[in-house]
Amino acid sequence: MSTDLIYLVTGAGVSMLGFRGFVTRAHLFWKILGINLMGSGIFLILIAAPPRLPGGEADPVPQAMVLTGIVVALSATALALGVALRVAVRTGRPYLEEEAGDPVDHPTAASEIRREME
Amino acid sequence: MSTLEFVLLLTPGLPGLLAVTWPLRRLRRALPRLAALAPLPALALALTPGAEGTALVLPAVFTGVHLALDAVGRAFLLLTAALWTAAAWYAERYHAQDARREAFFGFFLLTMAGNLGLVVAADILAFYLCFATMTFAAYGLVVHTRTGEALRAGRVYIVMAIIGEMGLLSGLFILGVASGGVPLFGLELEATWLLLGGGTEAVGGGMGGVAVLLLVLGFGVKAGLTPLHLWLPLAHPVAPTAASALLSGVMIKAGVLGWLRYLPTESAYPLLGTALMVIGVGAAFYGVVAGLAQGDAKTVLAYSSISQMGYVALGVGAILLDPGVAVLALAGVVFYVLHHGMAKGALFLSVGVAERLGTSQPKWSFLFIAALPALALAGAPFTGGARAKAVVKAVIEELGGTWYAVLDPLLLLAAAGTTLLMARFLVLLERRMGGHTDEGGALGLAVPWLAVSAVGLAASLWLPLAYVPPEALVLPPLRVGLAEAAGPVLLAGALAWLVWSAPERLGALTRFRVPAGDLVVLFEWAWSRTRRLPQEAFLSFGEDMVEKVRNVQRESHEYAAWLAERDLYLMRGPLLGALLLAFTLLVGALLL
Amino acid sequence: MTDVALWSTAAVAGPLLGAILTLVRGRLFTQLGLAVAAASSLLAGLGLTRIVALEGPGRHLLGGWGAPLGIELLADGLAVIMLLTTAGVGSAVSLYATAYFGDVDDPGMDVAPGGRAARFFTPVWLLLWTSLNGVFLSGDLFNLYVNLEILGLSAAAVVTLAVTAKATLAGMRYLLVSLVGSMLFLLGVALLYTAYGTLSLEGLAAAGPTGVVPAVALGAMTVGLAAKTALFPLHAWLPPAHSAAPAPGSALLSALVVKASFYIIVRLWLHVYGVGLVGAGEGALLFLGALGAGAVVWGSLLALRQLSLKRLIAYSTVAQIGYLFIMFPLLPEVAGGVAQEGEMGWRVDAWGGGIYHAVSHAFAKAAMFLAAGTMTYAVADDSLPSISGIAHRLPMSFLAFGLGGLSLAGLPPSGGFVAKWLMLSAALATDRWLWAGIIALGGLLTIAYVLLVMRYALEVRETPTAFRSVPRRMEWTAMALALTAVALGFRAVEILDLLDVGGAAPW
Repeated sequence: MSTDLIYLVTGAGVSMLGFRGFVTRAHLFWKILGINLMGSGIFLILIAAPPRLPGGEADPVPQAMVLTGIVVALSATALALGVALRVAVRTGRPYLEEEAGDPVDHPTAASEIRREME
Repeated sequence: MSTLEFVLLLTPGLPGLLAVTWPLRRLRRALPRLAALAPLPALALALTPGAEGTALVLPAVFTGVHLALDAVGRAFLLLTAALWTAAAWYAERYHAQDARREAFFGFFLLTMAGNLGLVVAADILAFYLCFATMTFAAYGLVVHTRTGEALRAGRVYIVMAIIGEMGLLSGLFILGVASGGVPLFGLELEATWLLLGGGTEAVGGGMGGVAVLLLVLGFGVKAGLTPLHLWLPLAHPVAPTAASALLSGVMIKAGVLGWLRYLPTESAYPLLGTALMVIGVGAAFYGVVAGLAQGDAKTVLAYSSISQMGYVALGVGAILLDPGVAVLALAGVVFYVLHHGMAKGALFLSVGVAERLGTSQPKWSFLFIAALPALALAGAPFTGGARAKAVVKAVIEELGGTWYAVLDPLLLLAAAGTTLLMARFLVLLERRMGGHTDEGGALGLAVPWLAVSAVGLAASLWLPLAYVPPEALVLPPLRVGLAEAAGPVLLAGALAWLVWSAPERLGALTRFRVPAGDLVVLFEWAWSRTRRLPQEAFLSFGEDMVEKVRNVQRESHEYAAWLAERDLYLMRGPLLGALLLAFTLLVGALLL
Repeated sequence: MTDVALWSTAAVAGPLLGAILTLVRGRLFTQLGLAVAAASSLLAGLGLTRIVALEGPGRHLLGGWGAPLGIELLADGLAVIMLLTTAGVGSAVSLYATAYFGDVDDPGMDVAPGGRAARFFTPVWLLLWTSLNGVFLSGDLFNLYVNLEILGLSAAAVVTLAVTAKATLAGMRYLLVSLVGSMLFLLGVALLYTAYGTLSLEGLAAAGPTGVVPAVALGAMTVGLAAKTALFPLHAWLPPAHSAAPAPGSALLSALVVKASFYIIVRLWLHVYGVGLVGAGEGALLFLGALGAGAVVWGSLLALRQLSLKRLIAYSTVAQIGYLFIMFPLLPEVAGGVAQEGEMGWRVDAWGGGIYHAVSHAFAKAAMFLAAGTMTYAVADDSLPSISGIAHRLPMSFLAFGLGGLSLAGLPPSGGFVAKWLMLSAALATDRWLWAGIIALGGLLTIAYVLLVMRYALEVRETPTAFRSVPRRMEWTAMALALTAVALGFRAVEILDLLDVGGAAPW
């Protein structure tokens, strides 16, 4: 039971760390890594799910889910990194514009409305 | 399905079917000729003795559409079908050389389907759908000529129509919710009104007043109720003549039918009733005054319609004020509608005939015939108009007391005004006449015009006896009308003599003009002022007024800018993260 | 093999097979793949509808494996309605796309024949279709998660098909939000499994989840899904993403993709947590409704201030999504309420109205995006002033846009009218005047921004802009969708009856 608890707490901690990384870091690579960490943390929580089978055998279902989850996470990360690379190539920097501290260029932006006023 | 039921289905069905064949090119070319056939099922149904009580449910359409014909519906159907038939015939000739005739007849048939459909629609939803179809399709008729004037009229028309639809939909919606479905007119509706008027424990209880107000205003836009009439004097004159006749003759009556069908007849709403009656009397005068100041024959007729609808509003207001007079007032309003619809239709059609009258054609006999419906409208003796006014008088007599004392002389004065207005119309009509080299033009138009005039004159005398509830037989006999009806005509004659005999003193008065669309012009002026260049606005408004207007404009831009900036904030990672976390916890906590 | 098995497998396997076929280069295989996907989806949708309507909800265990390890496909009224909607919108958009990518040479979009977007749109879209059908038919939470993730990835890929920097940024942002949303959903799945040891929706519903862990799990899943649905104020990713995607992609994203995550929210709240919410959860229902109301007002006001056509429609999506969530506070039957009793204390009309709105919005919005795509294609510009006078050049597209707008604004006769009528009835019958007011206000604002576009389109312009002719197919596919949105207003009863199969309690 205590091992499970350790898994559970670690899992929660790792996902919170990942979430924090996603939220606070501006660099796209960190954001993607943060999401990956979140996933890993949740996988840990799943593994820590108490065994349901009689005789104390390990429950195979969470393991099957985690395996599938890893495959999904892998493809998601691959796509995200690919798009992030393209962002870096097209804009010159690996940031989302609103987080690089630049004025955001959208036709709805206030500047446009002000320009229309004048 | 019996024959009558099938004809009932064809009433909106045939014009609707013809309208939707519009995309087929070959049929589209034939539509102008087929249009006059489209209202024939409706006409046959209205003329069949004992057709009242025919009802039909189409369960497959929407949540089930109910069609039915009652006595009031039959009277309206007769007027609507007759005028549409004549107008279709007239329009086919009138638009013979028109390059856009196919588009015109597309809208024409769609409007017709809506108009005939709403007369036989028995549930709220079907009625509203037909009403909306008619309203929006008629836009195509108003702007048909595509001139600047027509487009402006169309703009005002559509804005007012949407405002009306909103009120209407909200009002019908309250009815629908209170009845728990789509109530049919008649008993089911009265029960709903009782529920609405009752205490607050029932659904929508206590909402009766709001519902009545919404319906009065919603239908009022269509019926040209002052001050919601703004679109009417603009749209009626610019539409092609056949469409003007329909707009003034039957389409504004759709609003009246809505009032009769959907307003309560057994629960009293004294405040709203009084307001409607006061507005009605006001409109009767207002239409006359504004109409006399017009320089165009069709605009004069449009203002006359506003004035005449004032009488109708008076009758409807009387029902709301005192359900005791409902039976008589209902008969009176139906009679008034029939009489006014045919007469006004004939008058509008005569304008088109006058325009195309050849140089060698008999001007004076034309004017004489054209003057007959005008006389009827003015309430000359031996016409339906005299009788119509007698009915209105009977209603206010029934109300008794102060109402009678105040309204009786006022109505006499208003009737004199109508006579003057008709005289003005005939003078303007005479100016429009002749000069056309193509002698055949007027002849083609003359047949439907004469038919409407003749049927109108005859029908307004005897038809109501057959078409309104038996209680309406208390209508005063004709000879009573004689003495009474002569009054306003004589009064009008005296007034006219005064004006024309002393032109040097009254010169300013006779040159007085109100721009068509009265209040709209004021609105447009005010609107254009707020958007003008500052220096121009300084002159008329004063400095701080301009500043205020511009501040409002600037603030709305500032506000939009503020909104757009906030929207961008929402993209930011930290804010997004905080929101995700906070919402997760909040939803979790709220679930416990 | 039963019929349920055949059709539910076809719904998922058909588009997947199509996607694989389109990977072979060449026009023939692209069209073949689309045909396979569309045919199998349509047939599966109709076949399942027939079974559900005649025999009630059906299920199929893939390969005979039951929960918890196996994949369980489940079809009830709600599922087949979404399936049919997807099949209808998807087929029309596919047809549009064959014309749009066939001969368009738009340097901004790189959709030239043989260009990246033209080459990859079809496989990505068919993968998206597979996952949509998968989401609608899934009977267990993990299967939902996997399909949701495929959906999110392929949807983000659709956005990044356009090569501009703006589109790449929008796609990146969308992908990140979508992934975080999936993680929150997965967290909920993990918590629920820990608590109940089952993943099947049915099993969880039977367990009647109450308590702290299920509450937090539902909170996490709902918020994650709400972020994917772009519920205000988590919507900021949507307008750039939906407006940057190529036109058929925009239509799919706005019409179908956001509905998939909404569908899961409905399943969870109504079917899995169900009655447990009526008493305790009303605060949470109100909260969702409040966010929905915020979306209606915020999205509509911003739509009114847009200078680009596609962004205007995208903000309109933000606003219309709000209506889907206004459904929630209207759901619980108030004690002493007069109108029809739903099972389990849910109001039937509120939930019918919400789902009807999802369906009619799918058709109307797809029509509007496709029509807008046709217009911007014709003038090679997306700004509102540049489309002035387009109504005279492209009357059919203009009409399609107008009819879509009619349904969106809830004017009769249209599917949107039925939806709003049902929701308004639910609000008024239980004396919730505030919600009724917001529903009506949203309708007025919708009319305003639809008229704004129409005003530009109808303008008469002295100097005609450059105009290129448009493939006919692009015009009539949009028209067909718009007409469907309007036609939905005529035969509402059958669809609502179908929705009632299984109703608020499919198991």
